Amino acid sequence: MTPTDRLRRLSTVMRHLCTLAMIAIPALLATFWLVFGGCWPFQGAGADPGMVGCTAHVDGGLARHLALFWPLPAWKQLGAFGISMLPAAAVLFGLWQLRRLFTLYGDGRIFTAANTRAFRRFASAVFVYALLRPLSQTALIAFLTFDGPPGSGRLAIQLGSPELTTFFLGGLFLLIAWVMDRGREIAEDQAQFV
Amino acid sequence: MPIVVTLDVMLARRKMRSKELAARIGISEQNLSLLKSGKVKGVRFATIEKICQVLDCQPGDILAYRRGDGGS
Repeated sequence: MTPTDRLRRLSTVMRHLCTLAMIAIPALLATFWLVFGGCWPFQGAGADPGMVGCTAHVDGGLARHLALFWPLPAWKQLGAFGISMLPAAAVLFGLWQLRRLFTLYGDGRIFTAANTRAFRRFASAVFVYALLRPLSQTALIAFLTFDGPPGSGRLAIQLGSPELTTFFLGGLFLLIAWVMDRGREIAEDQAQFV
Repeated sequence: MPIVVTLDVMLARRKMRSKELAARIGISEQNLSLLKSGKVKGVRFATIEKICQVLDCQPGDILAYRRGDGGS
């Protein structure tokens, strides 16, 4: 098998994985909020301290506090799903761009303008996700607690190493996109030599 | 460009078609056509070598420098 064949085969696998993730992410979020009301059944719904685990993905420090608001009414479930979908939309866009990139690799197109465009858009999606993730967490906590008893409303902003790592990765991907663009220029220049 | 490709002249002298030359030197007819019309940025030494081998000529027989034929 030649390196090109290997690249094509791996690209096809990666393309299918991207498609799968694009279906699984919204499906899992919808299941979590709309079917299980913000708590996976195996985490002991409704019972404290079980609820701590339920909302742990929202924010570790506020999980116990949020447990007081469980079970969530349908409109809150829907709202929480909508807010959770904001950073997920950036992830989906990024996955869509990666899928396009792997499709191009699968077609044997490696250094073209379309490749660079797809990778640059993916890098932008990573940046947008890094920005939307803490914002959506803040919005989610505020949305889940705003109509509770006086003094129970919370506003929390969480910025930690995951956000910084995502920003760093976004910058790294953007740099790789520029390198790919330089590679495309060289490849196009080479194509004009016979 | 002051560098002019005179490959068509050499082909006519050797009574050879572009198609045959392309096949013998291992490049596409499209690329050979681009080369003949001078619409390429450059020619590899390997390509010149094969052309000279097939047409039994020197690089100077297929390339010429014409002073004042443009400046790019």
